[in-house]
Amino acid sequence: MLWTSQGGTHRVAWMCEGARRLAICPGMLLSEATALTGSRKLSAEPWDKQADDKALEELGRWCHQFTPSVALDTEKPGDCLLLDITQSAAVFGAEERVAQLLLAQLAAKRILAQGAIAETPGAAWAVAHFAPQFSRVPSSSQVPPSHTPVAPLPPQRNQPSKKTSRSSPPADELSEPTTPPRYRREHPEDSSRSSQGVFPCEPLLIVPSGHAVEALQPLPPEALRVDEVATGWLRELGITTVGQLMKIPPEELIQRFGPGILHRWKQAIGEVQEVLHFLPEAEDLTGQWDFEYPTSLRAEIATAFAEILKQLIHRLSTRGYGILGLRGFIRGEKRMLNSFEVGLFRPCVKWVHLKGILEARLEGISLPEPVYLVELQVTQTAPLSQDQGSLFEGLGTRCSPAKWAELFDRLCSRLGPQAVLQVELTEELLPEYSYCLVPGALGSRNPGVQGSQKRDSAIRGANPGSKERKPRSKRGEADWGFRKHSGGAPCDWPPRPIRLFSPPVAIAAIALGAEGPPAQFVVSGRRYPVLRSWGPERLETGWWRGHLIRRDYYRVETASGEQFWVFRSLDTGQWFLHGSFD
Amino acid sequence: MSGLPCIPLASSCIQYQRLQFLREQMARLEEAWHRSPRLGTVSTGWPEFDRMLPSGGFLWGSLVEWLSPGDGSGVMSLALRAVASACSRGSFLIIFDSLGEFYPLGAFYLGIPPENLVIIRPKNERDKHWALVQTLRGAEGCIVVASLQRLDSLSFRRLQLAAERGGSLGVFIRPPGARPEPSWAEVRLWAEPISAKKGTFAGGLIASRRWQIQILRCRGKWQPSQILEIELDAQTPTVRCFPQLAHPEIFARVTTSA
Repeated sequence: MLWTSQGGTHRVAWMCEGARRLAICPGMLLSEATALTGSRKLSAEPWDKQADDKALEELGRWCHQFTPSVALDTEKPGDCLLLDITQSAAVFGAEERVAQLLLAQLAAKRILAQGAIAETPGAAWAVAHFAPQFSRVPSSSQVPPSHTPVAPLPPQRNQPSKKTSRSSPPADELSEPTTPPRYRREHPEDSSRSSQGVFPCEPLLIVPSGHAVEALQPLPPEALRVDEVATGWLRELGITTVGQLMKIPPEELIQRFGPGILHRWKQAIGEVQEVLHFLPEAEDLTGQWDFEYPTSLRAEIATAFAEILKQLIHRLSTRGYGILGLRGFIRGEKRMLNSFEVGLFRPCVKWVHLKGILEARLEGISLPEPVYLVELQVTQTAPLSQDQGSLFEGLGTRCSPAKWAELFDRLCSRLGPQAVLQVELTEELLPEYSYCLVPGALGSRNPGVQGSQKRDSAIRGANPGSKERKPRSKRGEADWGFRKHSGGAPCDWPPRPIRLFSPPVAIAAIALGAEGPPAQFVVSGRRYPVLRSWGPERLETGWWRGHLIRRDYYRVETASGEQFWVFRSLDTGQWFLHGSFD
Repeated sequence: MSGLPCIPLASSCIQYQRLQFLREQMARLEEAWHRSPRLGTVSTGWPEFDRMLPSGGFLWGSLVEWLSPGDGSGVMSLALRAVASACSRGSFLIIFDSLGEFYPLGAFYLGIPPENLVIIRPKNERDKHWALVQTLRGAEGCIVVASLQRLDSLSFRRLQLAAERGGSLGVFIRPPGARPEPSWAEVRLWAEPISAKKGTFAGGLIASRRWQIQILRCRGKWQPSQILEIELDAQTPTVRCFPQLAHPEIFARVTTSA
């Protein structure tokens, strides 16, 4: 189950079929959804829309093997790819075969997709998204293809066709074997693999040429990609299908709902052309260096990489693009010796900088035997950005985004992205959960750095186990309600130590009262008499964390002036040293 | 040495005078260097402390060395508080945290915005020194804070040159054992907490904490042993500076002679 934040509350965005069976639906409060699951184990993760979009774009580029015309659905973004497979039919034999191959390969990649072929993108989108809800048939793993009802096809299809595919719930969850006769269902070619338990394939939906109107009529108005407000009005008026909608005279439709619905209808039936923005085809940016004699000298290997890099940079820079990601391969006589990846924060074509990063990366790579061949591949590119120079550049001025990016590229290449961290505060009070460290994540902060480089694996404070935590809003002021002094720190906040020990160190302490501060404590055999103390500050975990943790924290000052942060666990009464005010 | 005036050798304290003279010469040269218009400064936020420094703050492109008595002494907090004003104006703070124990909320409390904080966790000392050189050289207008136990003179010089070239400010927390070692830092400071028992807390709040800061070495000012007391209020993280009171023995001698 994936959730998203809307108006300060966590709401369900997407869910698996198992969760759907428990009556969990999109838009439901996460707490309600969790309550519905009862004792069942339900994994809830925050929805990363950017990562989803990126993955869909990558999938679109992968689809270039079937057709060069692959577009993302810009009207209803999120889960759909639009492919123009008209010309591909000549290569693969038939349009159906292209789609069947694509679905089968997606299934092999464990991606469950619903495919539809139609004359227009609008019709294909509508059928792919809404037709299965009217007539779900058992998947190929459950029912042999011969059992699938097939509608008659016209003998020739000369119209350009569009095919759309979208991710769907697992096929083994579907039921209700009724099929409307307005479109045909075709099973992917190698559905036998599915029946062997590899991964199920959804059947392909085909809208015969000239039958778009008939195919669309039983579908709900949402199938026309109209906004939610309009569909809400239509639902209130009792209009539940496109057929009912189209019975309304066009003039009245425009007068009541604006031109949007009619325009969508015309696009779906092909009366109005729809502009698609096709993804640019990825160029194979790879270079190889074959050594005349095998070598183990790192300097030679680095030089070979640098030469390949020079050629790749030349090819890219002429188009105004820079390198964002590199992958290197080092091959021996019979096997791959090593491979590495380099990610950059900002598109770059500076040979010296990239060469330095590669050299730093090569330093940490082991070479068990002589190298025969090295290969360098550009995995990610982006348009180069231009920076405005400053009139007052000099010492003490803030580092430019380009310099930042170069510095962090260098640091991440040698130390690893997990060693370069930025802080996000959270709303939790318990010290371990009160912050998370984002590896190499300057993207969202530094305007000159690529946001896409933000890593998705944040280190959650001192305890990486927790996951469902929301980063606190900027500086935490709004959420915590603290006043701030001019320096930027909260005024009403009890001091926090500079060092936090993870896990807290159990100490032997003597307290004067059952609930008072310690009078002295012993750490590593050294006795610390406490001269002054402040507290207690009671910190507890939220109920949603399951196991309740309750602690009384004290800031204590020893006789020699050192200050430490100790707490007593209210469950066990044990004292712990949690931090020091270094 | 031909340009220097002749120093009287017959004096009984000839060596002392010679040293004094050389110190003054050095101070004059360094003072001229400090007045160079190309250098900016980072104000510590404590006007009394800024006045003790020849440039009126920590210089960009230099190193500052804090000698700390040990864990819990609060010297790191002082060092961070001294650069917090620069961070709140947009400078990034890069912290080297080899032990993985740095607690960002502690820095946030001292006035360092979390969005301007970068933590680097090198795996070993070699990587740490490499990364220090890289950040000091590459992060112009940034403040680099690291705790360094061992630092040989050559590495120290390398870091100083990197900071000078990069225009960043390096702040190093060193153990007390580093005091006799040579330093390439612009300013070397000794700070120790004053415990409630021996300290004078007249006027201070109960929750406050006080340190005694001594400038051991400062380029451009040769007089050592300038001492300042600084108090950090725990409830409202403000800082007060207290003038150093005369030593009781000196006070007794002066009053007796009067």
